[in-house]
Formats: sequence, C-alpha cells, structure tokens
Amino acid sequence: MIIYIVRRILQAFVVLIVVSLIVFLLTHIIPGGEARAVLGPRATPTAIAHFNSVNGLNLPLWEQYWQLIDNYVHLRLGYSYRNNQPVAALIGQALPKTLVLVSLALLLALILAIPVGIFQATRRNKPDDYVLTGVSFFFYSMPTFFLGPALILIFAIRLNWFSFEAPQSQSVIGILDDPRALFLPVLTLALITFASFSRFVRSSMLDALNEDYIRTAVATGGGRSHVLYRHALRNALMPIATLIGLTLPWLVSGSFITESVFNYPGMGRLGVNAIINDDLPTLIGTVVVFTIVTVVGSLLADILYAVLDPRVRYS
Amino acid sequence: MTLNPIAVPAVLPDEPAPAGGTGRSVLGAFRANRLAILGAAYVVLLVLFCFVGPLLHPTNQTNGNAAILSSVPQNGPPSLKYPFGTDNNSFDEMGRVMFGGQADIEVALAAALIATILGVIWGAIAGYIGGVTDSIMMRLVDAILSIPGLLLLVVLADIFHPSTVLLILLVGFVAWLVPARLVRGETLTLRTREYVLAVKVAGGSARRVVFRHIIPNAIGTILVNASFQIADAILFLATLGYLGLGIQPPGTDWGTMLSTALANGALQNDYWWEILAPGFAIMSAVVAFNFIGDGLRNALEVRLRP
Repeated sequence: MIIYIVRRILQAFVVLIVVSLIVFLLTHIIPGGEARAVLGPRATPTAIAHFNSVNGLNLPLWEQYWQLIDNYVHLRLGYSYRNNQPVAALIGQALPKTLVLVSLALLLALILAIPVGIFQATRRNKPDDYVLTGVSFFFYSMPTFFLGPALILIFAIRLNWFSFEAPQSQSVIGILDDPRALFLPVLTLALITFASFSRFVRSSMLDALNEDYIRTAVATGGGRSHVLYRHALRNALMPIATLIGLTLPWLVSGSFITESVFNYPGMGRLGVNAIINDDLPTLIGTVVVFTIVTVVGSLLADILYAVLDPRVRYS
Repeated sequence: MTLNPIAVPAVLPDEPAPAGGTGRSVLGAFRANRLAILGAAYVVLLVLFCFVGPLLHPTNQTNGNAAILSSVPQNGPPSLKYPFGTDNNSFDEMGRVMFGGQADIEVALAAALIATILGVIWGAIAGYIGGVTDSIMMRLVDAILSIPGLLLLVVLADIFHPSTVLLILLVGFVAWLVPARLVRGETLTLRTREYVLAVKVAGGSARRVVFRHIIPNAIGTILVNASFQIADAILFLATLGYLGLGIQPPGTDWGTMLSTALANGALQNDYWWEILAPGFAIMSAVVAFNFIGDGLRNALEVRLRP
C-alpha cells in the first residue's frame, strides 16, 4: 500500500507540473502579450518594455518558467491591478468561504443521497425507484445557473422564506451566522451533486447486496434490516471516499457558478468578477488554486480509500 | 469531457441488453428503449423548432429600431401573440429561443465532432503503439482531465473572447479527453484480435490497421460517447454564455439569454418566463442527448463513461 500511495503522490505531482505548463502557456498566448492584457490596449511601447523588464518577461523562456514555479511555491500569485491587491491576498479572503460552502453542500448532499440510494437499492426496478431516478436525473441535467435563479424565484421572491443573496459578511463566522441567507446557495450546490451521489450509493449498495457474505448472512438467519445495515451498508459506503474525490471537479465548477448566482463572496465570485473586469491575473490565480485544491483533494480521497479498504491491492 | 465524473444512467441496464450485432437488431434494441426514442424525437422536434420555426413564426430578432420595438410590449408575460413572452429589448422570447438554439445546436454538434475526431485519433494511436508513447500520451490526458474542464474553458474563453468558430474549437479542445481514454481502452483489446494480427501479417501498415480495422470496430463506443459529448457541449456553451463569454450580440445562445435576463432584473421583477424559456431549453436538450446516449449504449452493449 505504501508503494501505491507513493505512486499516487508522484502522479499528483506530475499533474501539477502539467498544470503549471498550461498556465505558462496560457500567459504566453494572450493576444498582444501579458503586458497589454494588464496595461490595456493604449499602453505605450515604453510602458510595455518597462512592464516586461520588471516582470522578467524578456528573460529566456525556461527562466520565466522557473520564475513561475518559484512564485507559486512562495504563494506569489501575481498582482490584481483592478483590485489593487495581490491575488494571493484576495484568494486568502475568498478560499475559506468557498470551502465552507462546498463542505456544507457536500454534507447536505450526502445526508440526502445516502438514504435515497439505500431505499432505491432495496426497491430496485419498482416504480418508486424509477421516480427517484427521474428526480436525480432532473437535478443532474439542470444547469446551476438555471437551478439557482429558479430557487431564488420560488423560495426568496415568491415565498420569501430565504434571502435573495448569500451572506455578505467579511468573516467565515459571519457567514455561518446567517443561515437564512446561506441556505439557498448550499441547497443549489447540494442538489446538483445529489444526483451522482444517490446513483453511486444505489449501485454500490446493489453490488454489496450481491456479495457472498450477504447471502451467508441471510442464510444464517440474519434479519433483513440487520443484513442491510450491518453488512451491506458498511461495505457500500466505503467507496464514498473515492466518490468525494471524483466529485471535486464537479463541485468546484458548481461553486464557481453558484457563487456568482447568489453573489457569495468566495473564489467563484472572485473568478467571475475577474472575467467581467478583464482581470486576468486574478482569474488565472483563482483557477490555479481551484485546480490545486481539486488535485490534492482527489489525492487525499484515494489515499483514504486505500487505508479504509484492505482489499485494495494495487499493482 | 464529461461534466460529471460519475455516470448517471437514466435507465439502468440491470437486465442484459438484447444482443446486438447486425444493424437491424441494434435498431430494435434502440427502439425498445422508450426513453431513447423520446430523446431522439425531442431532438428532431427541437431542430425543426429552431431551424424551421422562424419561417412559420417570423419575429424580429436583430433590429433594435425603437419604432419597430415600441409596438411590442417590453418584458411582456406569455400571451397568445408571444407564447414565451417578450424580453427586456422587446424581442419575442420564442423567436429568441429559436434563434439562440440554432447557435447552440450548431456549436454543440461541431464541438462534439471535433472532440470525437481528436480523441479517437489520439486514443487509437496511443493504444496501438503502446509502450512509452502510450504512457506519455495517456498521462497527459489524465493530467488535463484532473483540471476542472469548465475552469480551463473559462480561462481560454476569457483570453480569446472567442468568435463562434473559435468557441467551437475551444469546447472541442476541452472535451476530447474522455473519447481519447475510451478509444485507447478499446484499441488495447482490439489490437490483439486475430483479424488485426492477420492484417499486420499480411503487411498492412499501422495507418491501415488503425483507420480501417480498429476505429470501425470501436464505433459503438465512439457513437455513444459522441451523444454524451453533445449534451456536455450544450452545457459548456450555456455556462460560457451565462458568464458572458458565449455568442456575442447580435447573435445569442440560451446561456447568454439567461444571463441577460438575470442582468436585466428578471428575478427582482418576477419575469419568470425570461428565465424559464432558455433554462428549460438548455435542460431539455441536455436530457434528450443523454437519453439517446443511454439508449445507444444499451443497444450497442458498450460500457462507457469511465
């Protein structure tokens, strides 16, 4: 298993190298170059030359790449000229809030999906299974930027149960302190994740129910619920670790849109505002941090799974 | 690239699908799948609606002339004359859904085609050559796959502010990874089959083996994935549209329509039709293509979506 974990860490490392190469490539294919993107189309040649020399853009390519790696390792993610702040500082404020949103949504999705998945597995191919499949599919196909506004329209505008906008507090505590405003963004993100989770629990549970030890447990007189919850569920829920890892890219993309729909002050809104303001350093910084979080998250999930499940014998 | 890493099949193939093989029985199995038929019928209707609809229901979609527009209510709710209502510019919403749908369908089909061609060639070459080349090619695919595709697309779109053609290329570029992986897997098993070996022994070139024997035999996998690719491309494009990076005015797409409606206060003023019309269009098109993919998967008996 140690070999597996080492191999997996190396793999994640390679991914990060590729990410850095892509970022490097992206900053070099900007039409007109990075200087023009930052200084605007009317920048004088002198200003551009100055910008290039200050930022090391006239150095050989490999030195520039080395500089990029060095910068990222030291968390220097560039400077946002629009916000007049280092990108790292902006992200430092936004990232904890996004983590709060994503973890709450993940939690809610699991709370909803596990019972539904179990229920569907026990009712396989009966009408209620099909109805629930339909519900999962409905939320799966619903784009976040449609689901979000629809929930706002129904629950905030018409019924006035929840707030129209996410909490605007500067601190994480302040955000958690306003559940009325926090509920709809969390629900939106949870619902779009719910579909894949409940499908996963359902099929994982079905697999577990087909195992020999279940047949043995039933044959030796274990009661229905005893077999279901003590034997099948335990083994069916183990892959949840992997599931969370696999879902991270989806959750990250989802939070990107959800945050902009609800004006939630996290990474997604930072990124979307960067698009609107043509603030490329902030956009790239946001995406890089999101990607690193995803890669590290998947890595942790895989390691956790290998630790949890002794059957995992990777060659 | 699949937007969601975990497959959500609409119909679970618990029972083995009817044996495929000849075209007739494949068609039969597809027909037996009611949801797939529903999906296919919906797509046909949608294409007719978007491309033929404007001929039967002519609307002003581009002329911002105040004299013309003043005769049309602004943000008018659905009525007999304007079945989907009108938007903030007094454009007829139904005509707008048709007009935007044309762009959506064209971009999604073209992007899925590009992604499929690129992915198939990449995967077939990697799987056929094998060894170190295969490792390098596929590790690259794995690495790019672990970057959230949407974010990559957003950065690319923000850098280029793409025209429609560039938009197609960008969506295609982000989406080719999954078919590459699938086809590579198929190739690994196909290249050891007797008939492929026979071609090699008979002196067939690598190119001939890949294009004449391996790719045609992997066509089931490719087709099923292509229909999921279209669904994903529609979602990608809609998301870009929502972020203001979609089709630029005077053109539009469904995502852009939704984003424009939100920016014009459709929520605050409860102009629900301006959100429902494009939102439902996106969602139903995605569902329809997913249903088709599921039906094809059952009919062609391929295991998909890694």
